[in-house]
Amino acid sequence: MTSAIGFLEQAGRNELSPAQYAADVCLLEIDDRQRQALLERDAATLNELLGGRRRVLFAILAPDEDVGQD
Amino acid sequence: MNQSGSLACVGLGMMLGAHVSPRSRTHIERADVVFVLVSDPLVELWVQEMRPDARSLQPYYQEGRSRLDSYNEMVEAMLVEIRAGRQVCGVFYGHPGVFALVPHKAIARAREEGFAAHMEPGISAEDCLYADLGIDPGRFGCQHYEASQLMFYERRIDPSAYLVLWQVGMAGDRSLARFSTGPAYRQLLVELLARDYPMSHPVIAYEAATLPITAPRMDELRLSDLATADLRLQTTLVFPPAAPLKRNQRMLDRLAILDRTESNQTESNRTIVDVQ
Repeated sequence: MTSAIGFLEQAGRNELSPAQYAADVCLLEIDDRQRQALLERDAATLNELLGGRRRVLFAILAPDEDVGQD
Repeated sequence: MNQSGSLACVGLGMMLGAHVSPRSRTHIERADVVFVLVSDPLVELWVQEMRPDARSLQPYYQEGRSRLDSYNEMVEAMLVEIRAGRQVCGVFYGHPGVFALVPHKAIARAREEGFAAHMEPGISAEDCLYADLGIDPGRFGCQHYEASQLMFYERRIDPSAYLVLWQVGMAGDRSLARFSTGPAYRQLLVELLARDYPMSHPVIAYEAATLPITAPRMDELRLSDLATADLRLQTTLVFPPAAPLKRNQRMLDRLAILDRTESNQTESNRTIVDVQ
């Protein structure tokens, strides 16, 4: 596998034991820094290395569509 | 339906790779245009691996601007493509219809304009909460409120049931232009809740895991801790019941009378049949 995201998808589908997880990460054909972030389960560093957004906003509910209008 | 454009709003579930349904995935892969709004940047990258042309809805958010304006623009962005005759897929984290105004509005608008539109459910933070915390909402009943809405309106809390509060990180925000509020706002929420719960009542700060490399947050706090606790956009508060279930004896007595009446009626019907 050549993608850290692809690996995360596989790990999401099939929960791995810690030993299997480490073994599978070592076999990935990815950048060493990405591998280290995966081994350390460091999502923030992995996101930075992959160029993901630094911040995501995701509130999609308004408690009251009229509030704040008074 | 007389128009060729269509909309499917689909849920990815909460955890990357773990929760997406086959139908949702097919919509993502086959749509002409994909819009995406998720709660984790790595999840957004995952969607972009599936669909490199996926359009993030993130740029519509701006601190200091009403979220309602952002929501309307998100809906309109999807509608523009639908009106152009395209099969549009809106990809949302969790369940696209749970605590989510944008997918509901987009579907309603599309239908009003004569387009086919539907929703594919997903595994929500609420679903993960029941699994992670071992809570069955049917055991004592379960109330869900958006935290600010609970503050803005006169509501009646039943302390014999579970209480779940959503979007507590921005509780009390009337501007809809902020994504967090401070301790003074939360203190008002604490005072409101203290009418029904002792200050020492346990509260769980819950956050579902969004990646297979992270764990859910399940921190036990006290009601008195909430004003200064680390409560984020994705934090949900879970209050276990504070009072035992109280039997409704009047209703139970009426039901007993009804049972006896029905039993007597059945008996007399049986006697009539026997005589015939």
